[in-house]
Amino acid sequence: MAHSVADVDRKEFRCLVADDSAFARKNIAQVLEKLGGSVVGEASNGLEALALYGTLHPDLVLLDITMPQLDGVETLRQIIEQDKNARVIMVSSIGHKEMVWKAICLGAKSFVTKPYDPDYAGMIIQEVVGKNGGE
Amino acid sequence: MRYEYIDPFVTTTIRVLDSAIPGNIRRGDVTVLQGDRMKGDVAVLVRITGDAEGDIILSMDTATALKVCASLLREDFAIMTPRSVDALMEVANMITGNAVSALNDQGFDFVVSPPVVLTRDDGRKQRPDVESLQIPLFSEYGEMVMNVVLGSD
Repeated sequence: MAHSVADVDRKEFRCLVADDSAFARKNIAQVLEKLGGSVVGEASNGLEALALYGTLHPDLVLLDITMPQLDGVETLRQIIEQDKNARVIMVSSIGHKEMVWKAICLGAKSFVTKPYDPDYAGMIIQEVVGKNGGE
Repeated sequence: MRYEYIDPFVTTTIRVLDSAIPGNIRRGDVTVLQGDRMKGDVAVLVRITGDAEGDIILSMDTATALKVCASLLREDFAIMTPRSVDALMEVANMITGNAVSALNDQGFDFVVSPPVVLTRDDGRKQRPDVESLQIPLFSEYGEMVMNVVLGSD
């Protein structure tokens, strides 16, 4: 069982990171890269995230809940409409239980709150992506 | 102002800052002030609505802001840039989001707006008619001040 980011199996997977903060995108990208993930796209709002999902078909999406133009929950809903097998992890500094529940019901695989512990976030990402990485 | 709102903001601020910019963050004595005010040249403001309405303002002088951003982004800044402003906003977002979550878990219902970074040049008018709590935060980067202005309707 992996106990830290350094311990997890490194299988390659392609990620789309959506957050209106460049700083936040950089932080999560560092965790992803340590796990063998590559950030193939970055979006600063929900509309961009939707467009990029459609063209990139990433293995994993890290999706901030609070974003301009189209919030994370609505973006999630539309991604799932496009691809019911999409693997999306919601990210937020706000841990509203209702919001978490709504996102999970819509099809998000998991939820991480900011500031996140890199080892915990790594564990969640690894669980969602699975040991087969991008397969 | 209901003082039970305040502690989650203070404890969350210290926890988030300690995690984002480890630097021996220590809280000073809380004082009640008439009016809301920025201390220094740079402030991040977050508006709260819901069971109470008001603002959370985290302010500091430019030198402190630059050191905080340098720690966050692991590079030196001579002036505030869009990248450094973005990093400050994200830290404020995490502080407020986590504090509001703690309050909402207690049964309150608050909503947080996206943070805004202000400088003295923005000409924000201070409001002398409101009561605020001022919480100084000391660190190796310099002093920051959290100003909490929250009231019930």
